[in-house]
Amino acid sequence: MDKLRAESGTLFAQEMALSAYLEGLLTPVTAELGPASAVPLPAPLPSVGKLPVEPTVRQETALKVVHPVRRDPAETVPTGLPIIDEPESLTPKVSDNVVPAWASDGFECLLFYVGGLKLAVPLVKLTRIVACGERITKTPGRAPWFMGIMRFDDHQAGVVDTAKLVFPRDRLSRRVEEMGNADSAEGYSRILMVEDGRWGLCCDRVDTVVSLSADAVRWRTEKTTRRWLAGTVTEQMCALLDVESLTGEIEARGKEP
Amino acid sequence: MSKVDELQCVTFFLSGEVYALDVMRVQEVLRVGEISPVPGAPEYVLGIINLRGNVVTVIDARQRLGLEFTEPDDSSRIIVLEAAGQDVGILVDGVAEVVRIRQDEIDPSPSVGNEEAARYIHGVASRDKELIIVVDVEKLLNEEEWAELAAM
Repeated sequence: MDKLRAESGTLFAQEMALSAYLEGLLTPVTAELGPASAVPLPAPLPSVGKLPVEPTVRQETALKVVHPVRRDPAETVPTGLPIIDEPESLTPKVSDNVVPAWASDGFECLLFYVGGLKLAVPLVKLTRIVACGERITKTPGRAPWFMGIMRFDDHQAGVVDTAKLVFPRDRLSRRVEEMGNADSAEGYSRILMVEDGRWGLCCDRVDTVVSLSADAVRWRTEKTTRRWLAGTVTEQMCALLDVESLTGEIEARGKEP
Repeated sequence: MSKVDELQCVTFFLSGEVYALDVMRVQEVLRVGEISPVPGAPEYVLGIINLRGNVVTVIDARQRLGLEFTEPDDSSRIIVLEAAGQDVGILVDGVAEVVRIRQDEIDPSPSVGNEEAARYIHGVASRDKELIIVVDVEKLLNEEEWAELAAM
């Protein structure tokens, strides 16, 4: 009995931790938005990344996250109009500089899941989605998040364990436990090919494509940490990937001595 | 008829992946017999073998490439090759065949990893549906290590 209770407790804690992490993704944006209009931004709040550590915070944030997600589906119909009616003051004034060119006239992105975390990748950056069937060659000495190399069209593509790149450490260790073999592509179902198919990002599940306007995203203004995070899609409550930064970081990390 | 930029390679297996090295380096391929351990030798040295009166040091390729250790079995082979002016044996899981690989088939990227093992890799070549990891034999050991090996 005790064991059973303990297990379900763990499960619950995981759910909460993930929610807290999602909240963590959202919070810095809010924190950055306030001062953005008036004064230069302070350094991003260091406490944000540590959110899941504090149990009491988890409880609150878990609730906060769940509710705003529910909205009338009709609102998400791609009208090209702003979906979120935020007070003017909340719309970042710096957004002109931050919004990428491809997003300024509205854009479409694919929602996908990695270990329960919902992410979005802009369609313009997505080359193709492939099933996780192709053999992945494991090169010796590769970084832990680098799963190996596979054939894609007429060239080779590096395959990345997305969870290992974007998850906070505590969440990741649980996922590694869950998946058993951390080295394996098993457990992933699809690979999102990006950057002309040079890189593949593994994911558990792909969801729908949504059309968004530029102001449906809270673009991050300063990216000192988590450079792969372009911003947060407020309606879908998910993290929007900055593909160039992500692959740039991958390549930079690969070149570390 | 240009044979420039074409590499003839011996392919071998390690941990389920196919590797290749320049055939011109290879002296011979042996079944795994008795390997005598050398006390105090570096950990990448499995030991020495007696090859027709010559002592040849055997390197553990798995250890060098950061792969987990497995006991040699019937398909295991020692590839005796010439590198850095000396003969050295490397223990591999098995030897497959000789293939021709064009230099332009060898893709140096994406070799992501900052560990030392990545340095031993010349590149990755595509063949049919398979990828072959091409090893740079000279880089298997650094200068000091080659010197140390020669002194053994």
